[in-house]
Amino acid sequence: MDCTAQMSIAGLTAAEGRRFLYSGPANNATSRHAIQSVIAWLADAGLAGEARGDVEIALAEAVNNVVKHGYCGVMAGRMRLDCRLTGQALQIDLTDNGPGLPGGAPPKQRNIDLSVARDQLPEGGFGWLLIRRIADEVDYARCGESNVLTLRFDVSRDNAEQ
Amino acid sequence: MTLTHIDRGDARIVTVHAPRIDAAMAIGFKEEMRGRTEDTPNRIILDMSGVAFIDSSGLGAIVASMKQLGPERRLDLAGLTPSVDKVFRLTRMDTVFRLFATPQEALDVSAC
Repeated sequence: MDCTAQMSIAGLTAAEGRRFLYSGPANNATSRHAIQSVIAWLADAGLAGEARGDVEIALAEAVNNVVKHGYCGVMAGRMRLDCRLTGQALQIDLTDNGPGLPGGAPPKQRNIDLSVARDQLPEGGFGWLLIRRIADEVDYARCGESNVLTLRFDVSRDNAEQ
Repeated sequence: MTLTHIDRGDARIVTVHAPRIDAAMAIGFKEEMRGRTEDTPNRIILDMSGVAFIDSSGLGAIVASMKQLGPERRLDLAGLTPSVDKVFRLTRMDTVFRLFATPQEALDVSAC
């Protein structure tokens, strides 16, 4: 995907649906706050609890990757969350200025081998699996010095909570 | 991160008093669990009913806590809330841990 097409992929304008933007430092404390702000915005927009829970899981993994790997210990990293919601879909574009993904793409979903002995069980590597199992579409583009990860979720606003 | 515990027979019920176990909390959780389970009998039942959210770091810390117990003792989980349960199911970690609705249900099942 090229970078100019990426921004118009959802065909959303300001007049349709809702938009939430977050821009700030990328560390554990701020990222938790950012994610919870997105989820609060989704609640306000009427997205049902289970759908919000799913988005929170996928988004937390994507943001954790940026915090953990994106800046390799450099303190000045920033990230941007651009969230757009219509009656059909939620699209979240996560932008950061860290190094690009190895191989130029997110890891393909893989099964985790849990048939190993108990003391060999993995303690990590679940993040991309969770993202790919929950998000309906995952796209990635390296645009200049930025990474843009796009997560798209099919939603139904008929499930609004009381 | 606050953990409390009570002992019931050969089981220790450890209750997590934190709404989230995520990247910021994972290492602290693992260390606290190590401290609270060093001298325990056969079974730990982790009461997760107060935890609304875990991410993969939190999941990893729970797996690490189980591995810390060694091969002779087991870690069972109770009270998983919907989002936490989903993380276990999506990663198929629900096949690695026994999951119970409540600590009492876990106690009612034998330790083996």
